[in-house]
Formats: sequence, C-alpha cells, structure tokens
Amino acid sequence: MFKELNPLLHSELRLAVMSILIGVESADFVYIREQTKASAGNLSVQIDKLRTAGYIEVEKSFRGKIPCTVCRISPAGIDAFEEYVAALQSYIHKK
Amino acid sequence: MENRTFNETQSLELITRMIQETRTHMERHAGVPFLVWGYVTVIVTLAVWFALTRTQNPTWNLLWFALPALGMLLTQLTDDRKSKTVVTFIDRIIRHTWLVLGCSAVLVSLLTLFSPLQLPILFIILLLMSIGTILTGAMIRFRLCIASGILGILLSTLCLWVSPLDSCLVFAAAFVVMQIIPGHILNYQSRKQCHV
Repeated sequence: MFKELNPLLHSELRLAVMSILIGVESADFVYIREQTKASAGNLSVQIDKLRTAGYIEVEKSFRGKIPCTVCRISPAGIDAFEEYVAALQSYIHKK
Repeated sequence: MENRTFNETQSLELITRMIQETRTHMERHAGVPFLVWGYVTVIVTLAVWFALTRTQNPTWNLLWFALPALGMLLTQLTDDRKSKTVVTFIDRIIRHTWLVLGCSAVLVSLLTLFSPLQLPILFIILLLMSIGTILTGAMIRFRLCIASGILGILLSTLCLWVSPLDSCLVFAAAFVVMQIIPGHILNYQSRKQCHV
C-alpha cells in the first residue's frame, strides 16, 4: 500500500522552500527566491500557504529601511517533511 | 520554478539539489572574522613584544587587554549577520565554539595577571585558538584551516621552550599561519564562488 503524498508538499516550489529550510536555521525571502528562481509574487503566495499550514514560521522585520522576511521551518514542518520523504521512498522502492 | 506537481523521482531530485546548494552556499567575505582576529592579535602581540623589549617594564603586559577589546569592537563593526540572507546551523555552532574558547582565553589571562598562579599563558591561549581553528576548518570543510590549526598546536608547544619574550614572536607567527593566511584564502574562495 502506497502512503499518500502530502499534496501541500507535492508541489515543486513549496517542496523547494521546505528543502531549503530543512537544512538551515533560517533563510530570508531574497535567499529563497535566488535559490528557487521563482517570481516574488508566486513565492510569496506559496510561503503563505506553508505558513497557514503551520509548516513554517515567518518573521517580518526591517533591515534599516528595507523590509525583510525571514522564514524558518517549524517542528510540524519537519514532521511533515520527514513523512513526505518516507512516502516518496515507499513509492520508489516499490516501483 | 513553478508551482506544478511532478513525479516522485523529480521530487527526490529537487530535495537533494536544494539541500546540496544550501550546504555548499558560502557567504561573501567568509574569511573576515579570521582576518580581524588574526591582524589584531599579530599587531597587539608585536606591540607588547616591542614595548617589553625596549623598556623591560612588565606593566606593558596590560596592553594584552587591547586584544579582546579591539577584536570585539572590529568584529561588531564588520559583523554581517544583519545582512546575512541565510543562517545555517554550522554558523551558530562556529559562533558558539569561538565564544566558549574566547571566554576561556580571557579567564586564563585574568587568572595569570591577578592571581599568584604562573600559567604558561601564551601556550594555553595558542592551544585553545588552534583547537578552535581546527574545529572551524572541520565544520566548514576547509582543509587548510585544519592543517594550520595543527601547526598552531605544534607552535604552541614551542612557547614552552623559548623565553617569554620570544614566545610572543612564536605567538604572532602562529596567528599569521592560523588566521591571516586562511582568512585571505577563504575570502578569495568565497568571492570566486559568489561571482559564479
């Protein structure tokens, strides 16, 4: 029996954001945008979806006069990511 | 990158690629902390050596306290944490490692100056800083740093054999090898990587 893939994570951009955040303490919007090469608008929407699901924490502040959005993965996000990878492995091993 | 769904293999490839790119990410000017502490240590050590050689007055030893003061001030001024776009776990571990080693070095210095204990201070501090350099090199996977830290440990033992004045020169030389040279190379490599 295949485990169901979490639809929130089984999307290229959202998975990329989670994969970046799983390996760091925190990353800001600019860094994530550079790494994913996504448009600012699309990235903003996807980050908000992950935040609403409780997978990431988003902190908005200012660096001088420039707005800055820092993201970090939450414990719930780590669990969801691990479950997603385990589900992926079950798919690949059974192929 | 789009918001599209994809198959399992592509998904694993994406996870691997993103984690790999983040792991190998190097900030511009990564060697600045090495250079700050390296140059400050060498300049203060040579100043102490020069003053002691010329005057034979041990009061000049108080000049050592300029080292942590200047080092911390310049570290604050050059600290790029506020402009850092990503903070890795390694960044935090390195920061805490140096904080612990730095506090230990200050404690040993205070014990030597304000207690009857006659500790081989330059040997102990050089040993601590060499350990820090090796650990940092291991964490950032920079072999030159590991090698220079090992050389620092060897040089620290030399401080036990030579005269106190000459041990100042050994101390300064060790910091050139352990901090200044790796710092410049690290900066060069990070500049090169950031331009790619």
